[in-house]
Amino acid sequence: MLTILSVDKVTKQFRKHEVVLKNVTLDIKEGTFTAMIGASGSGKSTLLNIMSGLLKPTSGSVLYKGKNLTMFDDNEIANFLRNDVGLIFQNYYLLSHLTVEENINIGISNTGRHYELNEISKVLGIENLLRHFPSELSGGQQQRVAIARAIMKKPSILYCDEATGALDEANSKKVISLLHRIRQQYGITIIFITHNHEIAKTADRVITIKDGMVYRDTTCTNPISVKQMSWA
Amino acid sequence: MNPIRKQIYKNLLANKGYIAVLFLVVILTTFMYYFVEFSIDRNAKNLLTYVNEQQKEQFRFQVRTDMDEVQIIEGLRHDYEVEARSIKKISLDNRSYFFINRPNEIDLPYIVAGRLPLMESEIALLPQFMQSNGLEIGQSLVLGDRSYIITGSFYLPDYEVFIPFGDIQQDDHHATFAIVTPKIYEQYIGKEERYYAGRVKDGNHFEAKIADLKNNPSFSYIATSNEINSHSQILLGLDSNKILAHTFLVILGLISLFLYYMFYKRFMLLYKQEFGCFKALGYTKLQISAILIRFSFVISAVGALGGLVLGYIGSSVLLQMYNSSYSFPHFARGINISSFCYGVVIVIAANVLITYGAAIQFMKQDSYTLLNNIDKAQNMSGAKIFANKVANLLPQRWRLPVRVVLRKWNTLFLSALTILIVSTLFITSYSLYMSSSTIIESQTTGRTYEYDTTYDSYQQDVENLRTTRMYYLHKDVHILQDDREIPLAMVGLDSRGSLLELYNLKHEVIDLKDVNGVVISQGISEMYGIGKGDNLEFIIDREQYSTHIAEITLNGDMNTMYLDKATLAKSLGIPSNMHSGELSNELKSVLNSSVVTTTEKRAVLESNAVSNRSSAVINQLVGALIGCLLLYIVVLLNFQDRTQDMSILRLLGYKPSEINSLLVDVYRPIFLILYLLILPFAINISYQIHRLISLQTNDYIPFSTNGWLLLLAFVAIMLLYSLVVFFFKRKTYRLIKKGYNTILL
Repeated sequence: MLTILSVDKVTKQFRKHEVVLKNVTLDIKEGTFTAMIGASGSGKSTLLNIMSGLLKPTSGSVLYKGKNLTMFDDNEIANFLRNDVGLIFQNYYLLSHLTVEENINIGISNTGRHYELNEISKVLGIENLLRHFPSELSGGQQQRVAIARAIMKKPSILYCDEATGALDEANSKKVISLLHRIRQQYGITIIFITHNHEIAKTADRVITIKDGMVYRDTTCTNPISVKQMSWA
Repeated sequence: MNPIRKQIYKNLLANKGYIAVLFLVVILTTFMYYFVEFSIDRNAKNLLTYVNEQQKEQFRFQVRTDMDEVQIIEGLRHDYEVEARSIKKISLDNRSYFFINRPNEIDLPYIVAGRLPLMESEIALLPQFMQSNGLEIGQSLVLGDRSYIITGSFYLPDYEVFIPFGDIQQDDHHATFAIVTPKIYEQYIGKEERYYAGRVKDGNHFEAKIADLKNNPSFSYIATSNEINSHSQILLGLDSNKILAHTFLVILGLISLFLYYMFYKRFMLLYKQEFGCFKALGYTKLQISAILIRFSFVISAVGALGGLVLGYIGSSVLLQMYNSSYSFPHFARGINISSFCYGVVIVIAANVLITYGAAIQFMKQDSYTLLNNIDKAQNMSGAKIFANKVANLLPQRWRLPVRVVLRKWNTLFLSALTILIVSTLFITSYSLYMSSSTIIESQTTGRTYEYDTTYDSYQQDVENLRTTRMYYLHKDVHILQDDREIPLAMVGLDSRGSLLELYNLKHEVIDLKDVNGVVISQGISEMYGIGKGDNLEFIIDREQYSTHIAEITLNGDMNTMYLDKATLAKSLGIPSNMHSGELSNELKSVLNSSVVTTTEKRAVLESNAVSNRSSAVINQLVGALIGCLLLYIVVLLNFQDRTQDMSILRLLGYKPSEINSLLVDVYRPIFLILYLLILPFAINISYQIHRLISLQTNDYIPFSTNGWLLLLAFVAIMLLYSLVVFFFKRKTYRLIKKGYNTILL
């Protein structure tokens, strides 16, 4: 498997004496589902932001398909976000004045490359919700719309920051199941931040972040299925 | 209490842009009010004192020539003080000198400087004439074959505006009143106007006594103070300015209240959970609201007092205008307690009350609702459904911006209000600016004469001079409208002459011979709402007549009706070959005649033009200021509401320019639609403003507009909008540069 993303000695310091990430080095293989777990304040979200180009590290580099993300200017970052990357957050961040269909379409890349809306909406089970507004949807439905928006552009990588954090057990399982299905169907690389160990067990690889460093990096040879997840 | 006050104040101060606007709108409101009010209150008082001290006339009259004048005057002395007045017009060296007899009981001259003449070689003049011609007390002045020493300058209380009795308005550079000794006055030979000035002896039954005079058949002319053009102008001006000041206060005050209400409503929504937290901690809604009220009180108080000070300073501009327009020695700045209360106390109280209302209404929600940020308005309102329907008709690229705009009724309303105010002021300003040239043009078109000569008595027409002269009959009349008697002039023109050709509104020549009825000037038509085809009741010499409006002329004299001379002669019971005036190109110096040249007339029109142009400039400045302020609020509200959307779009990889076009600069097409919808109202309001000012000042100000102006008004609005949006686009860049995850951290 090819390396799609390479993090090399990344350090992030916000204020004096506040070093959030310390010399983090790791590679992400294409088409894998990587879970990053760690306690609150461990630096996992910061690492995700750096890996997705949203934040610049204090030192170190991030290579995406050989290109140094940390040297990108604003326009290049914008293009990267627009064309290559999908982002999914705990709070969905849908545009309240757009319908579901419009929210999904607004995620289409600059190049015009995208999946068909019918196909995506069917995969995510939201084909009957296209004319609705976010305020009319449940949390689980909103998150599925956010996923649709994120993958509509055919991204290479999907970054998920606590994507199930605001959902109940049933919806969380649905979302995880969908993400795995998308990965298998479309070959998208997924990096998933969570503090839920059950979700991490479904991943191909689990990276544990502790005190700003990679504490443990485990490749799972037999990840469990979503059905097998047991919520505490 | 201190911790939550600190928290709330910090949150309030995070909205610096909006707070600045709230502060500025209060300053603007009180400034506009006091800018005018400081020039009114004290002057109204001073005017009353002046009128009493100088024994200003309350009416003036002329006795009919067929009556025993001495007997009539004696009969009046029981109830009235009466004094004879006379004015002689002498024209020398391109200047007009209106010598007046020296009054002793009524209309006492106010000595501005020096003294009145005591010797035959002494003269006193108006101060404006002296200043304009570089004359000083002690200098000599040669008039014809006489040489005088200037001993002083004076004002006449019955001539606040320089319109000598029986003549047209004069300009200060070319004309003056003059006082000499009685002996020298008698020696001058010139056109003399005689009348009586009078006052009611005691204040009881004043109205009844004036009514008695009006009904007295012995007078050929009677007019009370408010009917005389040369005085009561200051009072009229002060009254109309008072209305203007209160109009500013009410309109800007309401805008201010609206902005305060919107601000606090949005502020509390933004910090909903914090307010929920305060409630959950046991603070009452009154305790929490008191913090917001105190904040409003501070901004309003500082703003109101700031506006008061600026208004005081700015009012010197108005006082300067008054000083140059009127002959009155006591113009001063000052306000009454009531004016202070209106502009400061009530403004502050109103803003505080609206804050209280907004806060209490919001705090009625229970803590749970506030803490959990529950939005009760989940259902789609009519406005939202409408907005979606409209947006769905448009291409995808426009749906987000259109929904953003149409769903927020308050910013849409504010946008409409901005467009209405700016376009009304712009159109009014242009029209005021153009009114003077419109008037000058209308007063010169179709006129090929230089001299307008009027006679004290009827003269016989000279047949072989009809080609070089145009004879006319002139009669003062009153038209009746809604129980009012409006003084106008009726002129019967000899249709065989061609020195004055009247044009109708289609620029076609009106032949008075063929006219069935009268032709009224455009000024009369617009001021009093009289149209072609209407019937008109009017009074001549206490006899009531009825006639028909046959045409409206665009180049007639302002307050004049025209008909054929023969027809008017028949109504007056005089032979058709008599006239009381003539238009010509030869100067004829005849005793008992008065000559007005077109040059003199034009000079007066052009001096009036200055005042209209000044008002036009003030209008434009006020319009631009208010427009900028309101547009800033519109764009700021939109910007603040869209900050999260901006961050989301940035996370999706949209560039700042794309974000600006989707979310910041969304009002452009809406402004065009609003402008087209609002334009008829703006034009109508502007027209009504002109009409009201004309009626108030009894001086027709024509309303004009054209397609290019309307286009220019729209361009001006869009330029103001672009200027405001430019600053917000820079804000977008700065916000986005802060970091992609502004909504994440």
